[in-house]
Formats: sequence, structure tokens, C-alpha cells
Amino acid sequence: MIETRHVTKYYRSVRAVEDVSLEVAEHASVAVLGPSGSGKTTLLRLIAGLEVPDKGEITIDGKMASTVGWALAPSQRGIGFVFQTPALWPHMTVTQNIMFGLHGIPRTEARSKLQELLVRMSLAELARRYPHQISGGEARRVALARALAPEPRYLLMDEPLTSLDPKLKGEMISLINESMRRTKASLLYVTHDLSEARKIAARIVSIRDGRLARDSVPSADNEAA
Amino acid sequence: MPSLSETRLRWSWEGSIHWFWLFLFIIIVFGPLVALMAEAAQYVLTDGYDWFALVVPAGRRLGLLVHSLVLAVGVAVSGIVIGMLVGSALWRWRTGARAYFRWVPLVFVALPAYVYALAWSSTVSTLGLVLQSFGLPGIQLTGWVGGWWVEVMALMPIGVGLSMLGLESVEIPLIEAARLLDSDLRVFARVILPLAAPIIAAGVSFLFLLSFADYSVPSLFAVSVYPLEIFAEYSASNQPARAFLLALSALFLMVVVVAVSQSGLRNAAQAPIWQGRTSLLAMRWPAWFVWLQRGAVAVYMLQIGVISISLIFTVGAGANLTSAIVSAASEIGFTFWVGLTTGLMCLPVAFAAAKELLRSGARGRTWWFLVTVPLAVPAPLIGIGLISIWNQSFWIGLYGTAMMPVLATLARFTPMAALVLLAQLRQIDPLLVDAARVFQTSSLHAWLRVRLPLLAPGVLAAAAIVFALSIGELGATLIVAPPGQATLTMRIYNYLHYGSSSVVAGLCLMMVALTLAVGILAILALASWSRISEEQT
Repeated sequence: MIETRHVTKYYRSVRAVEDVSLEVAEHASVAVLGPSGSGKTTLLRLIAGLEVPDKGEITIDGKMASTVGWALAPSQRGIGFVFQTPALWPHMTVTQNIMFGLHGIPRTEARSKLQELLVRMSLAELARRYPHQISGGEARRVALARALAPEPRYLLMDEPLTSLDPKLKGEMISLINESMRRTKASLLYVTHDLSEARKIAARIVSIRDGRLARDSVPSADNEAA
Repeated sequence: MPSLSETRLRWSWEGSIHWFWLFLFIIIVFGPLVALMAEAAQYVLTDGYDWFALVVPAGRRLGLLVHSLVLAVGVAVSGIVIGMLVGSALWRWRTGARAYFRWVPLVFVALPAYVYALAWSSTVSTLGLVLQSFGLPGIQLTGWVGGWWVEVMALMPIGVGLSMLGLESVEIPLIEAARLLDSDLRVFARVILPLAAPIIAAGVSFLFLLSFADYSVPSLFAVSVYPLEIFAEYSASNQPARAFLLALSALFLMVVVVAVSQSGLRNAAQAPIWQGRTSLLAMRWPAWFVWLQRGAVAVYMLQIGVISISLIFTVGAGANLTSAIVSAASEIGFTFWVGLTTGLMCLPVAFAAAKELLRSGARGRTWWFLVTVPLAVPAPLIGIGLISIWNQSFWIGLYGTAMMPVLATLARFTPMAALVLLAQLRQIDPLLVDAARVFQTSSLHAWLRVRLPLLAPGVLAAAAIVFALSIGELGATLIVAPPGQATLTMRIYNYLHYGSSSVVAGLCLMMVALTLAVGILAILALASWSRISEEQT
């Protein structure tokens, strides 16, 4: 379980996240919904260990992951992260991008995991291509495959469908849902789009001005809407 | 609303000005080389029976060329390795005032390399005496090792600067994406270094070019190198054509290095250094790597410390400094004038060239070649070429005037200004310029209210960099300076032979102070500009 306790983060004098306490249980799928500048990305970065909290603490599976002035290295948290942009390394092929996180396991095992992901994400034909040789939608699939490859217990996604057209968005949502069912990882999904949140998450948490505002399940949300 | 024909007329008017500046770029930068080529062709066609022996080095000259190559490669590789270690250590200072002030040591770039040679020689000699007083064997900085060490020290600020530029060029999301999956050292090796590689390779090339073209430091350590042969040939024969023909083999090697590293230079010019800086959580390096970084930073600090302390100690009393400054008042004024005039005059010419560098296709590639190749031309050749052009009976005017050093520094540093301005041009959102076109009352209105403010940081940086480089220039200025006038660097060079060391040290301190003042002013202006931009976005 991921647990944030009274987490606060400032950028200079600007308050990005304030007193956020949130729990993400195992196998859960939670969407963090909020407008631009509400602090949802900062919250995700704090959980990933890319930022250090100014107040509060974060635990992952009961172990301290972040506290004031200290954060466990991002690579040691057992999490996967899909950024708003694919952030694929331009000097590596699709295969090399996906394989990057597969270290410390036998090469044959890594190869078979890679093949499985390439097939599942419909990337087999693009395996030897470089990021500049694939489309935007394909790049998003590679980014998802890269995050899933090390089989993380928690997957964090920061508005990964931004700037995709509706058709590609639909395909990616199906792919994400199918991947989450298969891997049984917990999902923390950040978005500003309510309909997207409803399609992906079983629980929706609203955030506004850096504070958690509302915690609900999509059906209740439907009624409220 | 202007009619189509009016629009075309205005476009052609702007286009004409652009082409005028481009023409001037070619004349200023390539004029000296073309003049030398013409002299060389005339020499070959008339009395140049030995031209082949000059162009193709053999025997002793081939040995000198190989010596120069080995020394330059050694200096370039060592400089960039230390630079990368220091750069990676300073990298954590990415935001706030520290992000700007980590560039301040770059002002030592303005000091001529031979000043480092003197500082290090005297420091090591003193250390040797101290060791001997304890009954230990003394040490001296001589020969190849001395030449290599001092060259590395003199070029280290550039190595560190280019390394930092390389690291800054890597997009933060790409680093963060990797940090989620692997340790920081492996991220450094597998993601950061490969992405920064083009700029780092350009840095190696740049250090190679500077080291390969320098003869002042090797000659002080009794190491014979090829550029000294070129200078000696010109001094002995007073024939620019012979010096140029002798320089051709070295020039060829240097142009090859520039051509090979061109993609790196492109990346270096496009790396954002004063905008778009985002925070990155401090990297967690393993202990052995931290020790390597500390060692490199210690060497870097030692380099700055040795030069500063040695100069201050050599000056001695404050009265010596005052008298050195007073006695060189006219040189200080002349140096300031040369630096300022070059810094301002290069801007429109460099801006036109920078706009061409933005183009794709054959035209863009051609301009990349035209802008980067001059970086490979040794300074004395530019001076000799300028004399070939202007010391003609049919010219009126410039030869023997204060404009000759300005022409020399313009020829050397206008391409550099073009690269700096290109970096700024790349950061301007084209939509902002399009919006200005839509709402402008006139081209001038859009220029003054939108384009110039957007360009301002680059203009400031280009002018400051060219100023700093110009006041430290010696190779070309020494050859073209008018009688009775000298720059500060020339005075230092002359005093090395017959002046007192306290005066030399005082003048060196003055140069550091001058560069430091301009550097800090430029950094403060850039920092405040960046803050304003951030507040507005």
C-alpha cells in the first residue's frame, strides 16, 4: 500500500501540495482528478521520489519512502511511471527503451518478457525503430511497456493521454485497463478529464489548490454530475 | 492595410539588409584567409619552387606536426574528463543564483595561456624549494609534462563550461524516466552521457583546436610544436604566402576536426543555458565516484587558486598594483575600446549568420560550415591575412589605425557570437514572432517591442562573450596593432620579456577584474531577465 501522511510541498513561496493524506491499497485503481496547477502532478512526483516533501511522509508497503529532506531513490521504490510526454530516450531503440529497467534478471527471461510486451502492446514490428521513427500513439505504448516491463507493484500515470485523438485515447484506455487486470498492480492515475478517470479508476480523488477535496467512486460521481 | 506589392517591397528591403550583413560576415571572417590564398597562389605560380615542401611536411616538420597532435589530443581528453567530473559535481546547482554563478570561473578564460605557464612554473619552483628545505628532492615543471599540465589548466574553464553545457542540454524528463528504473550512476552512463555526447565531443574538438594552435605555452617549456614553426617562418621570411602554405597541413587537420564535430557544435549552440531550467533531485553517486568528483573539483579550485594567489603574491604591495594600472592606463583604455567596439559591431553581422544557421537543407549546412570553419584558423594567420589585405598602396585608411585590432577580433569571434545568438533564436517561440507580425504597426515597431526584447539575453551574452575573448586576444592583435598603441594583453606579453614580474601580475589581475566585472554584470542581467520571464509565464 502507498500511504501519504500530511504531505506538503512548496516551490519557493508557491504551495503545490498541502497536507495531503492518501492511501492507495494493493490492486486498487485510483484517479487523482483536478484542474491544471492543482498539485496533482507534484503529488505523483512526491510518491515517485522525484521530489522531497517539505512536510509529512510517504510509506510504500509499510516502509518509509520519503520524509522531510529525505527520499528513497526512485529506482528502489518498485514503481512504474508513465509521464505526460512519452520521454523515450532518443538514442535507444524501442527494444532498448523497454529493456532499460530489466536488469538483475537472466537475459533469456528479460528477452521473453520483452517479446510478451511487444506482442501485447502491438509493438513487435517497431522493435528496432528509434523514437523519432514512430508515431505519437506508438510512443505512448512504448512508454507504457517500459513502465510495465519490471513488473512494478504500483503504476503511476501522469496524464498519459494528453494530446491524443479520441480514437487513440480509447485504444490506450483499453490497453491500460487490460494491463492492470493482467499485472494486478495498483494504479494511481492523474488526469483533469472526469470521463477518462471514470473509464480507468474504481475510485476518484479530487484535488484543488494542492488539497484533497473529495474522495468518491465513479458511480456516485455520475450521480453528482 | 498594405497591399501585396507593398508587403513584397518591405520584405525585399528587409531581405536586402540581411544579405548586406551576410556579405559583411563573409568579408570580415573570410577576407584574411582569401587574401592569404591569393598570395599563396601567386607565390606558387611565380617563385614558389619549394611550395610542395612547405605544404607537405616531412622530416623534422612531420615530427613537429605529430608532437603537436599528441599534445593537443592529450590536453583535450584530460581537459574534458576533468571538466565532466567537475561539471557533474556542479550540476546539482541548477536553480537560483548559484546556477548562474557556477559559470563565473569561466572569466579566467580571458587570461592568456602563457600567464598560467608563469604562475604554475613559479608555484612549482617554490614548492620544490620547500621540499628541498626538508631534504626531499625538488620538483620542476618542464618539458612535455609541464606543457601538457599548463595547457590543461589554462583550458580547464572551457572544458568545465562545455561539460556543464552538455549536461544542461539533456532534458530532465528523460533523466527522471531513467531514474525510476535504474541507479543514478547507470543512468549517467547509459542515458545522460550518450545524450550529452555530441556536445562533449564538440568540447573535445574545441579544446583540441585551441591546444593545437597554441605555441606560447609549449615554447615556454622548450617543447617544439608546429604552430611555432609557422610563426617562425613568417618572422624569418616576412612572406605571408610561405607562412600560409606551411600552415595548410595543420589547417587541414583542424578543418577535419571541425567538420567531424559539427553535429556536436550544433547541439552545443542549441542547448538551453539560461532558460527553461527545472529542478532535478540531487543525483546519488557511489562513494568512489564522489571521490573522483572531489578530486576534479580540487584540481579546478587549485587552478583558480594558483593563478589568483600567484598573481596577488607577485604584485606584492598595493602600490605596485596601482602603479601598474596607472602606467598601463592608455592600454587599459584601448583594450576596453577594442572589446566594446568588437562586442557591439559583431552583433548585426552575427545575427544575420545565426538566422542562416536556423535553416535546414543545403543552405543551412553551408552556413554551418562557414560559421564553424573559422574556429579552426590559427590567430596569427588572421593577423597576417589582414596585413595582406590592408597594407596595400591603393587602400586609404585602415592600415595602421586602431581599427586593425578590431578587425582582427571581429574575424576571430564573430562566428562565436553567431553561435550564441543562434542558441537564443532557438528558444524564441515562433508563435510570438507571428503574433507580432499580425499586430504590428510597422516592422520597426515589432522589432523594438517584441523581437529585440526576446533576443535580449542572447544579445547580451554574445556581446559579453565577445568582449571577454577580445580583450584576451593576442595571436592576431600582436601582428596588426598600430604603432604606439597596444592592448593590455600585448603589454603583458611584452613585459614578460623586459618588464618586472610585479607589473605583469598587476596587469593580469586588472584583466581578470575587467572580465569578472563584465561577466558578473552579464550574469546578473541574464538572471534578472530569466526571473522576469519566469514571473510572466
